[in-house]
Amino acid sequence: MVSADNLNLDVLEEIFAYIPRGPDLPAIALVSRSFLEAVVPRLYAKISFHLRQAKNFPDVKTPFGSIVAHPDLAIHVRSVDILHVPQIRKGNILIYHPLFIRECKSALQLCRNLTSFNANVPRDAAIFLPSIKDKMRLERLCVYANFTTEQALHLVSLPDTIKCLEIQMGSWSVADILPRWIRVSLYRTLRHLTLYMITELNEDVLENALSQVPNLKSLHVIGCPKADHNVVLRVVRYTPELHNLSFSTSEVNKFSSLTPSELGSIRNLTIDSRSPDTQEMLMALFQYLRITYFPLVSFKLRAQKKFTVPFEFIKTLTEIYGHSLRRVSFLDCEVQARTIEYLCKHCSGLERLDLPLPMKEVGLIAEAITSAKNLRTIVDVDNHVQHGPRTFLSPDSVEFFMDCAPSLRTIIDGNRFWTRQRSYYNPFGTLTLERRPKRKSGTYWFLPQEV
Amino acid sequence: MVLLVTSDNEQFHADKEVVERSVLIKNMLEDVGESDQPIPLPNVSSSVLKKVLEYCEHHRGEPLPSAESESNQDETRKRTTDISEWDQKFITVDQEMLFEIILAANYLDIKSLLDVGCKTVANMIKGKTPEEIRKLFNIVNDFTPEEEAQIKKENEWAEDR
Amino acid sequence: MASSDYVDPLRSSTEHKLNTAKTKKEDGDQAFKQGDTKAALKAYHESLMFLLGIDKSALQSLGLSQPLPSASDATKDPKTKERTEIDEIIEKIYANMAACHIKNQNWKRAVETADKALQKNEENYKALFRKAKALGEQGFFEKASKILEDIKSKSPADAASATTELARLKVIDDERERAHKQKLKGFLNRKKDDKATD
Repeated sequence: MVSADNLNLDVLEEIFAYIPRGPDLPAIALVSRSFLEAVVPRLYAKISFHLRQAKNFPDVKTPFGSIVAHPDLAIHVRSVDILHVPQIRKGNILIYHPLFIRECKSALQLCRNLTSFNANVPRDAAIFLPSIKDKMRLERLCVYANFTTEQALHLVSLPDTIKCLEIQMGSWSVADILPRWIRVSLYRTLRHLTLYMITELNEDVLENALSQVPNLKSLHVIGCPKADHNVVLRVVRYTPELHNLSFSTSEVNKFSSLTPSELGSIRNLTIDSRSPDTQEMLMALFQYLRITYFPLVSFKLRAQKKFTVPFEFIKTLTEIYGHSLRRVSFLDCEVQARTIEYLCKHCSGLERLDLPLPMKEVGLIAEAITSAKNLRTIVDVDNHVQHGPRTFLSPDSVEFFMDCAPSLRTIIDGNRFWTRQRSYYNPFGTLTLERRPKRKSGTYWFLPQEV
Repeated sequence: MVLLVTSDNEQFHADKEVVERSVLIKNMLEDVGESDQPIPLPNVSSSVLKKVLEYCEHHRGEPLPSAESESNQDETRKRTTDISEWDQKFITVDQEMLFEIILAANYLDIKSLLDVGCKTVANMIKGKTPEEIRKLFNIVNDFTPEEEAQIKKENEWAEDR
Repeated sequence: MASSDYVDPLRSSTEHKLNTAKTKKEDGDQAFKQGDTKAALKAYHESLMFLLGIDKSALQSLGLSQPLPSASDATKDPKTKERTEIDEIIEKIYANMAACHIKNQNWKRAVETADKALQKNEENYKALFRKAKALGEQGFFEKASKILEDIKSKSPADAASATTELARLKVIDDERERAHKQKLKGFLNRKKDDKATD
């Protein structure tokens, strides 16, 4: 007789692939030997070490400790995210816990199949670099890179297999070495480049770097004051295949007129506005962008200082990209009901909308989305402009939203995931609420999201 | 029409379009062409094949997942727990049949059916303690208490997602 | 579980399936030797029909698989994980099928079947070579040469054929690269920049 216990291993592994990360996986490991054997590959495929786990150190054994104790586990490890490092007091200062560092480095050395490594910790992320030098399957590296010149040199000798590079808080040394690193190894494989908050990143560095990677698919340059919108839009002439583009607009420089650039492949665009006059900047920018038509699929805007998304801007946005846009996000800005209504009406393919929902006007907003025929997801983003405790949508409001737009399936409100399953048999559907823990995810806000 | 023979020697006639939802059979037909000779399916019984063909018949004509797009969408697909109403009704069977269907879908390489079966079992497991899972599937705990303690200790880190 | 009650029928049927599969594989090998790729593919497919879904729990009673893992080695390297006789035959069949498809110039299926063989054993250099060749024939030069370089460094026995294939691909690729560079150069010059062309 077939039962769960004697299903073959491949099938059990397949079943466990549908179990979300979290407490269910370790519970499965405790069921029986065959369950343990089948769940281990999933359990150890992705290791994410964050604040809660750092706090529990050394009381709770770390995944790295388990790998060191059972080196055979290492073969399953594909992705390691270190987002926090346990600390210990030494004299007056906090230092990284030496036991953790030792454990982590030994474990990393064993993980031959590592494809993604993320060390987004604000101090000494460089200590991990020697341990990933020989990972010939490494495709993604994400690192907080306030390195010294000597530490930055380690980067150049990393495997020449990296496709996706994300550098945060890079020091002058890191910015300086980037073009050389690309020339030595990255040029062959690099397709996605993210440069976040690198003060010393300037046009020369960026130009030198990009001229060597004409096949680049993603470029995200955010919060680098010397590489603002004008710089980014000038250097993208080297990368005609660019699909995803993010940049910050300058706090001081206005939009300077440019020759039309090679933007034809752009599908996802993120603008991080730091301009004193966001409206003026947006209008000038889009007058420029529209010279080369590209079917934009996703657009994100983040503004500052109580910015209300201008009605005029949405008119321009939908006039140019209304036919192709699927996902629109407004972060840290306010959006009025009539603006949303216009957007939904003139952007018939809209599937996902991220915006701060003003609690007082929930009813108006819900009515504004009535004309959206394909809207599946609404995300209520945290509005950092308004202070005070976060208010959540009531079940009634969620119901009302769902009734206003029949295509709507999901409403995400902070950690609350409301979903409604509809079917032919049950056209009104049933509403379910799931709470997912909020945590530092290790991805940046400006990257394009899935539907 | 394609002729299939099950492990218990029952013959089934089915449309090519229907049986080709099985990538195993599809590849065979592509590589060697159709013939009037039956295709042996020695690892599927007639009662299970009947169920599987019912599924394939209902979903005939729907696009098959392509091998290339698969790995990218895999994670996304597995994160959603949606099962369509028809599939849900279809998969409401006793546990033994459920596992038989999963095995057959795996053997015949019918991704969407394997998906439905695995999601169903995964949903049964979610939120349960090890003891509850054992009870659900009638599994004997074959660990010693020491082993159990050790496994618990070593995987505790994963309880926090 | 209760499977011990069923050992006998399971055992005999598993043994029977395995034997049928072996006979069919031999038929396939014979047909391939005689150059009849279609008959070979048919026999291989039929053999797979018997092998693929064999209930592995039945193998234990046959002594074809190692005993149940203990808790500590339940976490062991999948490479050393019980490789049953069945896995080995499946690997060989898929590698041979890849050879059939190459002979038929069916590159897409050649890659698919070579991949199946590699899933069973990533160090099957014959299958790896066939995959590289079929990829190269489809125009995936970068992927193909990467695999061939890999073969050269890891399997001395296959190094010679990998080198020959690499050279063959390089001739085709250089031609393509030249055409591409010409285009890119023209494009960058238009933006009047000289750094990019160094």
